[in-house]
Amino acid sequence: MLEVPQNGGYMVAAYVVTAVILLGYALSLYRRTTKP
Amino acid sequence: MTLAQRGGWITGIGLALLAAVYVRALAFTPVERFQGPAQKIFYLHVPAAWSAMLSMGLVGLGSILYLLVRDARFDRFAAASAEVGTAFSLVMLTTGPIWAKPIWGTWWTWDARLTLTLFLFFLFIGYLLLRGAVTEPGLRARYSAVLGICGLVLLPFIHLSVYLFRTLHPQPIVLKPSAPSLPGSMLVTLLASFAVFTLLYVGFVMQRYAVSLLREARAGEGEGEGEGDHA
Amino acid sequence: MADLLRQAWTVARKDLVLEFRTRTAIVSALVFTALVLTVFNFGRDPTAVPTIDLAPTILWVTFTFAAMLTLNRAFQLELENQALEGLLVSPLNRTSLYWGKLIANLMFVALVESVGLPLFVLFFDVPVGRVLLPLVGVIALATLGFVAVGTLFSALVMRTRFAELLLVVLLLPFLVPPLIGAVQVTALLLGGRPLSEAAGWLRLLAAYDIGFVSLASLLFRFTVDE
Repeated sequence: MLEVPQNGGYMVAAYVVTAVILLGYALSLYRRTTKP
Repeated sequence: MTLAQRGGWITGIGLALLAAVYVRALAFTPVERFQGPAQKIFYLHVPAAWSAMLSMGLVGLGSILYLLVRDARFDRFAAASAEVGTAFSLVMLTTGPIWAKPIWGTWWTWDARLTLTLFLFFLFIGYLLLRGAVTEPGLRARYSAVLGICGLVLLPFIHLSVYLFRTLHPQPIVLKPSAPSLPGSMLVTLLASFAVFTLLYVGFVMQRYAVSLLREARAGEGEGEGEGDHA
Repeated sequence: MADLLRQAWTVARKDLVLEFRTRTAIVSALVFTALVLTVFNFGRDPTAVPTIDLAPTILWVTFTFAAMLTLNRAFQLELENQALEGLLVSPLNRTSLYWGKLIANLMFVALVESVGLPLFVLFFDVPVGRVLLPLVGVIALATLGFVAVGTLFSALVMRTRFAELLLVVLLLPFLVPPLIGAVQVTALLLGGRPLSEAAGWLRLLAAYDIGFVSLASLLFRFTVDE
């Protein structure tokens, strides 16, 4: 039986990078819209 | 509620739902047989690509409308869509190679999709750089609109030229990147992700639009003039 | 229509006369072309990769860079002495102004290419004799594409601080379709393949030219008018 490849590390990396980019952008927008 | 606050709420909800999609994709969606866990990057990469394309399309539309009616709101909208599009295409550009490496064995390949990804990113960056370089608001709006329309028209040509190139120089593909038909559970995850990314697009654009309004208000206070100007 | 062309030719002629008086852009582009070709020659190992494989890329990289140099001068010269305002106040049709600039730019780039091509043949010993006509044809097609967009963009960057750099950055994605097409067809021609194999690429190049010359003609007025 063909084994499922063990490449979970890439998955984690991609999910982390995406979260960082989207959260980072959201934060940037938040700070730019709430400056006094 | 101000635009900024409404946008903030939508973004907030979008991010919370994104977390839910994460949980669903990582823990409650089956692992693909031949590609392994790395296939799950698909649930982020494809919706990000969709959002980036949507952003570019709306930059183009906003640009056309601005040149036709010269309403500052279209220019603000185009600028907002461009910045948001840059963020999404960055997600696309990073998840693409991270996905490609385990699946195709190489970080990068000049196939039609990845190359289009790269140049879409360059188009957004160019648009933002042009806006940064032109200070006078009326001029900036017109110039950006011209660039925005050209960028939109360019996309099908890039896709076509890379596609033609690829059909002549086929790359050996180790595994097919996505199955032609997705089992139900995976399809639901993908659709949920699409919905969340679209919601995030809306929230982000509202907030970024509000940023423009804030800048204009500040500039107006500073000079006491600039009625027709917009940032 | 004839009127538009006449006006365009007047603008083009003005640019050509001005350039030939000082010759700065043309000379720099020619020297640059020779330099790039020389560097490429020393940069490669003829025993490792046959010249014929690299030839199309070398040719087109050289042509693209040289075209960039000439594109920059298109509107820079109008900044001096408010020449652009003078042009705009005249009853000159905006589209004619664009076509005039386009024609002038095309002629400059054509001049550089017509020196660059023989140099290229000389330095790299590439057999172009039998395919010269189609080769010139594809060079013309691809050049029209990126000079059309480049002329429009040089109006956009005219007043910005890093105009030359910004022009390159903005133009980069727009170079992709004509360059891919040009390199592919050039490779086919130099490799002795029949022209029919290049049909798809030639159609792409033609579609790009028609599309962007039209679009640029249409959009140009927004770069100079209120």
